[in-house]
Amino acid sequence: MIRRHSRSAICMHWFNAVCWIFLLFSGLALLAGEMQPVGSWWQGLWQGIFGERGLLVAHIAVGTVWVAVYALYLLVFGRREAFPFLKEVTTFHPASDMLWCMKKGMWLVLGPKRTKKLGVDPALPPQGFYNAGQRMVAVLAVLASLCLAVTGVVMAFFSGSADPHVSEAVLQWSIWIHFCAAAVMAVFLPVHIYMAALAPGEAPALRSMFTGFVPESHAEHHNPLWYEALKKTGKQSS
Amino acid sequence: MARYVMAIDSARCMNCKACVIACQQRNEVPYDISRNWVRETPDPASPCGTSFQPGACMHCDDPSCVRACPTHATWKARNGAVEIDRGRCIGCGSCIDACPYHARFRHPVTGTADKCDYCHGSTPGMTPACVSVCPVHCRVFGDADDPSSEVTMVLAGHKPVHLVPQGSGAKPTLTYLDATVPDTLPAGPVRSMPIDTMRPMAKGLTWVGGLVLAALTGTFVRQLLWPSEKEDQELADEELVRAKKAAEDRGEHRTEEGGRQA
Amino acid sequence: MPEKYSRRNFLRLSAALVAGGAAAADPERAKAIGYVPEKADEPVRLVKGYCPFCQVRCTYHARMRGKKILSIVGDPDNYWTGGAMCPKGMSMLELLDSPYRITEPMEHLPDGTWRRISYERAVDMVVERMREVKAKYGPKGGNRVAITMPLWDCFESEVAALMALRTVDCVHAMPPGETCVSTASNMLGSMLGVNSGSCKVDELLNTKLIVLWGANVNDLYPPYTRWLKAARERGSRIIYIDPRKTRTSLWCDTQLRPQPGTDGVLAAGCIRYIIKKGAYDPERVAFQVEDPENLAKYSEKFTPDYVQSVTGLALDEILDLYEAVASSDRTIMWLGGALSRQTNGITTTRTIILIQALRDNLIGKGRGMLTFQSGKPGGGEELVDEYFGENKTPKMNFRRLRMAMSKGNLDILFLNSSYRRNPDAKGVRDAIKKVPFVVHMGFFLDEESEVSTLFIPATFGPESQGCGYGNENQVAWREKLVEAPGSCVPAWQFYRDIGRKMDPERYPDFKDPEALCRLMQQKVPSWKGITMERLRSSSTVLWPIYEVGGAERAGSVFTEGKLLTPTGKMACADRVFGDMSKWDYPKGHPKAKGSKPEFPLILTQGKQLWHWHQTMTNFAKSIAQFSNGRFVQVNPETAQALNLHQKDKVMLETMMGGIECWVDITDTVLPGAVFTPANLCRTTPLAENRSESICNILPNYWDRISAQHNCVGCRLRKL
Repeated sequence: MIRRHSRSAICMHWFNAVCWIFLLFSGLALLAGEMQPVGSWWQGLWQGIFGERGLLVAHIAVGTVWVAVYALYLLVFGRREAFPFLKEVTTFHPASDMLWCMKKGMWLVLGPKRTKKLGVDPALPPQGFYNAGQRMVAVLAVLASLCLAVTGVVMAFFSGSADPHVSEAVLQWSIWIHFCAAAVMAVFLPVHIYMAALAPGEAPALRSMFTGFVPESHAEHHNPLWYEALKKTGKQSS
Repeated sequence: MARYVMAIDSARCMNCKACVIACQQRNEVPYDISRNWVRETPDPASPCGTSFQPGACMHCDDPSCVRACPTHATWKARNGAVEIDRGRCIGCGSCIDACPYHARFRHPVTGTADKCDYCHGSTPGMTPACVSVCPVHCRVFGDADDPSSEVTMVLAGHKPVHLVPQGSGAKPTLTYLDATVPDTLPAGPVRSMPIDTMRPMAKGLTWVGGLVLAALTGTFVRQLLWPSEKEDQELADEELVRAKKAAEDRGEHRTEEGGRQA
Repeated sequence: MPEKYSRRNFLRLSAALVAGGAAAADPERAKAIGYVPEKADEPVRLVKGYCPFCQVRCTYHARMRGKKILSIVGDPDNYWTGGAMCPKGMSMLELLDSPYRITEPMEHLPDGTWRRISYERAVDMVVERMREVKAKYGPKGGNRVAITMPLWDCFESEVAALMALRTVDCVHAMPPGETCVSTASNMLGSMLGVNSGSCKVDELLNTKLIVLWGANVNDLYPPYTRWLKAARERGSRIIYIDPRKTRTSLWCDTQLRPQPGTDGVLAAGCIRYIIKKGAYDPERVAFQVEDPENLAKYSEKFTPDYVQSVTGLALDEILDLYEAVASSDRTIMWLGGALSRQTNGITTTRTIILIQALRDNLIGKGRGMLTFQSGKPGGGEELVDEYFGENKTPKMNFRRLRMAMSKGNLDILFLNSSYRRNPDAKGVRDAIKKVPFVVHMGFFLDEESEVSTLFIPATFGPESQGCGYGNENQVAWREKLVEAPGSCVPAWQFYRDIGRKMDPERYPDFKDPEALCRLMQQKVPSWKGITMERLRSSSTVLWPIYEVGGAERAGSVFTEGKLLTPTGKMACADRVFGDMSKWDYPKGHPKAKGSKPEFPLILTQGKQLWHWHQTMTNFAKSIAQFSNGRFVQVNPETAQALNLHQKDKVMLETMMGGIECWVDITDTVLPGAVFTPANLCRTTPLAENRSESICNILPNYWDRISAQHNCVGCRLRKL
C-alpha cells in the first residue's frame, strides 16, 4: 500500500464535499423566477425546510465556516500541502492531457473494444499524481472557490449597510461572478463525483479518500508516472 | 386574502407634500430621498398652472423589479403588495434600475432596496402615513376585494386610469381616478446589467447541467451492464490468447524449423 | 452671499455651538436629523399633542417608544382638521433633534463672541437688570421694559411672561398682529364689535356662496382645504379673488385676478351694483348700518367700467362676481392677510364688510366674516390682573416701542418673535441694538440672537405640557412627552423663575402649566368649564365655557341677532380714513401719487405652504427639500420686456435696497407684478432656505393701525 493522501487532506476533502454540496444546493434554491435553473419545486423544497430567510442565513453560515476553515487550513498546511498541490495540478502537458481526456471518455462511453475498432489505441497516456481530468477540474475548483469566497464575503458582509458603502456595481458583479462560478462547478461537480466514486476501477481511489492508502497495483496502473517517481526515491512501500 | 390597492384622485392634490414628509418620518427615510412623490407638470389647463400627480410604488401585477431581483428579496405578495425582505436584499440595485417609475432607491442606512410597502413594515395594520395625513383625502387605500371598503367603492364610481411608461409591460395596481396628468411616462432605462444576463445563463445551466447529468447516468448504466473493465479484460485476454497463439505459432514454427533442421 | 455664509457664519455657528452645547454634541441627536434605526424592544404607544405652528392647531397622536417620538399621525378625532397635518407641522419632529439647536444659555460678549453660562446665572442677570430698572424709575420703570409676542410653546407661558413683566409694572406685550391682520381686526372690531371672524370655519357648510377675498386658504392653512371641499360638495360656489394663481385656485369655482392693491375698487363697485339693482332689504340694512343712505353716494363713481379700468378684470368677470354676491342670501367672505398689508386695506376691508351688511349676510346661518386670525381664547390677562391688580396703562404699539428703542428709552427687551416680520427690518434691528439688555429666547443662532445680550434655549412643542389655542377659539392640551436637550427650559419656567425672584409675594407659585391652567379654571369665569379632564379627553375644547359641563358655543357670534357694537350698527365711513370714495392706490404702489418711476413693478410677498416662520422651519431639512431659495416670480410678458430668462440672477430692488433672487418665469403672477416668498432667513445653514429677509427692502408705511408694506414699487436688475 502506498500513502496517497495525508490525514488533513482527507479531512479537508470531505469537509469541502459537504460544504460544497450544501452550498450548491442551497445556493441554487436562493435563485428565483427565471434565474432559478432547477425549477420552482427546488426552491420550494429548500425554503420549506429552512424558511425563506433561514435558507439565506444557512447558506451564509455554512459559507462562512467553509471560508474560515479553509483560511485556517491554508495558514497551517499551506506550505506543506496546498502549495505542492497547486504546483501539481497546474502542471499541464497539453497534448497528452487532451489525449487522455478523449481516450478516457471513449473508454467509458464506447468501451475499449469499439474504440479500438475506430482505429484508436485505447491505452491511456501515463499520468502523474493526478490525471489530466483531475488537474483540470482542480484548477477550475480552485478558481471558482476563490471567486465564490470573495464575492460571497462581499455580499454577505459588505452589503446591507451604509458603512462601509459598497457600490451597486460591485454588488451586481459580485452576484454575477458568484453565479457563474457556481454554475461552472454545478456542471463539473457531478462529473468529479462519478469519475472518482462510481466509475469502474475507482473503488481503491475512493477507499483511499478514507484510509489515505492505495494499493501499489492501482497506483502503478492509474498513476504510472507518480509510481515511477516513487520507485526512484524508494518511497513506494510503507 | 386581501388585495390591497391604492387609488389616487390626482385632481384634488394641491401639492402640499404632507404625504412625502409623513412617509419619510413613518418609515425612517432620510429627508433628501423619498418613497413617494408629487409629480409637478406645467399644465395650462390647470387652474394654478401646474398639474400635480401624487405617486409611489405602483405595486405592479407584473413587476419588473421582481424579475430583476437575483436573490428573491422582493416579490409580489398574495395581498397585492410588492414586498421587500431587507434580510435577503444584497443592495445590488438591479430592481432600482428595473423600475420604470423610479419608485425604488437604495436606503443609505440599511444599504438595501427601499420603496413603498403601504407602511406595513413600520406600522403593520395602520393606515399608510400618506393616506392618513392628506388634507384633501386624495389617496384612498384598502382591500379591493372587500365590497364594503372605501377603495372598492371609489374604484367602482370612477374610470380607472393606470400610468404605464411607454414600451413597458408593467401592470400597475395604483389607480388614478378618471384622469391624471401626465397619463403616460417616457420609456425609462429599465435594463440592469449584468443581472439581466443571469436569466439566459440560468437557462443555459439548466440545459448543460441536465445534459451532463444525463450523460453521466447513461455512462453509469452502460458501465453497469457492459463494464469497460470487462472489455479491457477481454481485450487483455484476447491479447494474451493472441500472444500465446503467436508464441505457439512461433514455437510450432520453431519446431518446424527445428524439425526441419532436425 | 452663500459663499460669504459658508466661511464667516459657519465659523460663528460652530463657535456658538461649542459655547451653547448644541444638540450636535450628541451624535445620536445629530444622526436624528436623518435616520435613527430603532430597536423594537419596547411597545409603541400613541400620545396626544398639538402642532406648535399656525393657528389651525392640528392635534396629533405621537407614536412613541420609550422617550422617543417615532412619528406623528394627524388626530382623526379633531373636528377642525379631520386628521390632516401639513409639512411644516411635521417638521417639528426633526426640529426637536436638530443638530443646529443651541441648548445652553449664553451671554453675548462685547467682542461678539458667546460665553456659556448656567441657567441660574441667566435668570439672575435678568432679575438684576429688572431690579435696577425698578430702583431707578419706580412705577414708571414699566415703560422701560417690553416683550414681543408670540411666545413659544403654550398659553401658560404667555400668562407667566405677562405676570413677570407686571413685577416691574410693565404691560408692554407686543402682539404680532401689527404686521399681520391688525387692519382687518380693527375694522371687524369697529364695525361688527368682534375683532376676529364672526363665525367658525364650519359655517362654510351652510353657505351658498363663499368669497375668498385674497384668502389663500390652501397655502396658509392646508388642513382647512377640507372645509372648502366639504362646502363645495354641499353645493356652495367658491369665488376666489387673488392676483396670483395659487393652490387655492384648484379649489374654487371661479378666480378673479385683479391688479394687486385694487380690491377696494372691486368691492365698492359691488356695493354700487347691489344698490342699482335694488338687491337689498332696506329695513335689514337700516338695522345694521347707521347711515345706509350714504352707501349710494359713496359708491357712485365705481361703475363697472371704472372697476374694469382699475382692476384690469374683464367686464363679464366683474359682473359675474357682482351678480353672484347680489343673489346669494347666504354668503361668507373670508378676508385674506394681504388686504391688511396695504395702506388702503382699511378702505378695502370696510367696503367688503359693508357688502355683507348690505346683503344682510352677517347675522345668521351660513353668513359672516372669516379671517386667518379668527380666535384666541381670552382670560389670560384676567388672571394676571387677579394677582397684580387691574391695569390702567395703555399698551405701546410696535411703532411707539421702536421709537422708544431708537431714543434709548428702553432698558430691557424680551425678544421672542422674529423682528424680521416688521418692514424696514434693518431699521428695527438698529433700534433693538440701542437697547442695552435684550433677552432672546430661541432655538438657533439666528438674526434675533445676533442682536441679543442673553440667549435662553427654549423648549419646543412636546418638550413641555400646556395649552395651545387655535383659529376657532379652540383650546388643545398636550403632555410633556420628551425631555428637552441640555439646559433648554420652557418659557413658563423662565418667566416664573424671574417673577418669583422679583416679587415672591404676588407672583403665584406654580410647578407646571397644569397648575397654572387649574388657576385659570378657578379664577377666570370663561375658563370654568375648560377642565383638565375635558382638555385631556377630547381633541379640542372651544373657549369660552362658563360652567363645568357646559356646551361648546359654535356658529355665529351674533347669537342675539344683532351686531356686537355698542349701537348694534356700523358706520359706512371711517372717522379717520373716510369713506370708500376716497379710495386710492396703496402707498408705495407704482401707480400711487408720488411714487418713483424707476420702480415700475408691483412687489407682492407672502408665505409659502411649507414655511410658517421666519426662523424655525428655515432650519428644517425636511422642509428645505421642497424649498428653492430666494426666487422672484415674474410673468412671461414682464420677463420678455426685461429680457429675463428662467433662472437668471437678478437684484430685486426697492427704494430701500436690494436682494439677490433667481427668476422664475410663470403666469401665476400678473404682468407688471412680482412675487417673492416671505420666509427665508440669512442665518440658516440650509442653503435652500437662506436669504436676507424680504422685510429688509420693504418700507414701513404706517396707517395708524399697523405697518404696511405690500404692493410697493420695485424693479429687477439683471446680474
